[in-house]
Amino acid sequence: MESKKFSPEEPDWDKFLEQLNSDSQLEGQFSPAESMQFKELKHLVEETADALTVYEKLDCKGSWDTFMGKAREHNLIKEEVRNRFWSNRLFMRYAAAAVFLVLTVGGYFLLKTKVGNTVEDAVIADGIVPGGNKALLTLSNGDKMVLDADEKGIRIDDKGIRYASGAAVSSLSQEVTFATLSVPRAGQYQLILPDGSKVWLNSESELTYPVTFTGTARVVHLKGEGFFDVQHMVDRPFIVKSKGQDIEVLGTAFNVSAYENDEATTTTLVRGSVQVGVRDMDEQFQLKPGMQALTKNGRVRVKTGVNVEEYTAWKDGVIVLEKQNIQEVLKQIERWYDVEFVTGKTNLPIETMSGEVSNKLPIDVLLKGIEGQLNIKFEQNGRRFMIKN
Amino acid sequence: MGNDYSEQVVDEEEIGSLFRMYYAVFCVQALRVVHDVDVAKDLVQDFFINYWERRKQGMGRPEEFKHYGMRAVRNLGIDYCRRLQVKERKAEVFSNVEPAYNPSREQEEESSYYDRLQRIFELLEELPEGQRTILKLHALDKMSYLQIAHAQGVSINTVRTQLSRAYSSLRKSASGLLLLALLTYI
Repeated sequence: MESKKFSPEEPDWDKFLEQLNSDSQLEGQFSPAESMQFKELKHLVEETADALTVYEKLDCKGSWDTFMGKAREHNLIKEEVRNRFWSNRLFMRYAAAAVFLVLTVGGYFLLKTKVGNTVEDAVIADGIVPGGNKALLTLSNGDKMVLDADEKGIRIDDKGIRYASGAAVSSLSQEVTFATLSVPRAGQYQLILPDGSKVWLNSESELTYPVTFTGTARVVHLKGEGFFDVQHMVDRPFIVKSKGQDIEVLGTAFNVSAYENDEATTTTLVRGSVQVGVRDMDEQFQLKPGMQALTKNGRVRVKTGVNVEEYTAWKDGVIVLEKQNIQEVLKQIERWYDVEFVTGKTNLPIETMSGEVSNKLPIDVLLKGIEGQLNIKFEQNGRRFMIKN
Repeated sequence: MGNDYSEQVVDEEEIGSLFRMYYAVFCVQALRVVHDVDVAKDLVQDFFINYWERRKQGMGRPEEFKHYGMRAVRNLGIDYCRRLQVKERKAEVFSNVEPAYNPSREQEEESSYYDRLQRIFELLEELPEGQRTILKLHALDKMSYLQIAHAQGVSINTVRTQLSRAYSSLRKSASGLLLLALLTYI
């Protein structure tokens, strides 16, 4: 951060601006000179608000459209010319995308939206950005291609390799039999399988699949986390092989989380039904919607009445937590923001967290929220955060 | 794409950037005379149409576009009022309303208010996009730092620095005017 040396005439903007936003009555403690400056600032803010109101009334963009209409009437332009001048001009049309951050510990509690004086403690985290669309496609002939971050998904079928938007990537040579889509930390990507089934891959995940499904079953291999929306085919079951378990389905939607560094592999069913089988065992478990199978050391535990949203919201850009312990929460943050938390000798709180967080949130806001709820502090060192009590 | 087309695009680009930069300031200029936002908008659009037509007819680019525009818009406003007055006079034949023209302290205040608006608008055009948006969220929408950080997807620290900078420049541009306003304000 830059230094905050102000010349004698320059007011301490931070102090005053925060005062303006907070309810506390520090105002009485200002020196006469300061309270003069504070009044001036208050006036400035009002004046700015007033000017902005007028500015909005003038409706620059709407006026430009009217103007272009007049220009057409005057034959100054013949065609509907692309209206480029406003494309990157969002002033006054800012995205009012309200992002609600609700973090709860134990019961429900809202993260305070007023920062007030606590803003001083905000973690400085410029340079760390939330994840986005990232993936590497590897074909069985050794070809590798980094996929476009502006595209959301990729599909391979008899028409070649294309983005989900329809844009062509390349043709597919005959010798290719398998493809692997790898998503790094801080990434997500979608893919459409040759049978039309859709898969959303989460950060640090990998899916290997045949470029054409042959034989009696459709078999794919998953590392990490993926959400599957499988096309129904009566005579050709869809099988997901992942750490310690095989999942067999006909047509259904479910989420599988099978990270190497997670203790359990979880399968959560959204609709339809799936059979979860532990590798090398005869036992099979049938899941119904809202049920979840946890596979751990060759054992399966089935939970019912699971909040499915919590396990599938990641594909829609939301992190939903429901009574998750802090370790799980931190692991998710590590994967999405590509950061590392170091616990050291710190005792992590045992409370669980619940809530909803947009995955576009700046990390400092997110960590600030957690700090506010739990009795811990994050100390940043590059991409590493030390957790202190 | 023929030459004709590309020439037309260059034209539109030139007009577009001038419009973007001076539209608001010119509107205020018209407001001084016509006191009606919709009329002011209309007049400024007309000014740009005139300007475009003249440029197409071979007029060179004025050296001081802002100065040129300010005068032209003001004249358009005065013309408009004259035309309106003619209409009003015709109407007055049937009524006994006295047209009251009375330069007062109120009008002086109004004029310095417009000066200030123009300065703020000019400054807003100079501010980087991000600072402007954040300023709007803060001043007009009364959002807190955290809310702004959420809405813009930036860190709280960015919000703090950007706001300080924006207000600091606004304050500098205010110079004597604001002090005057402040004296009456206190």
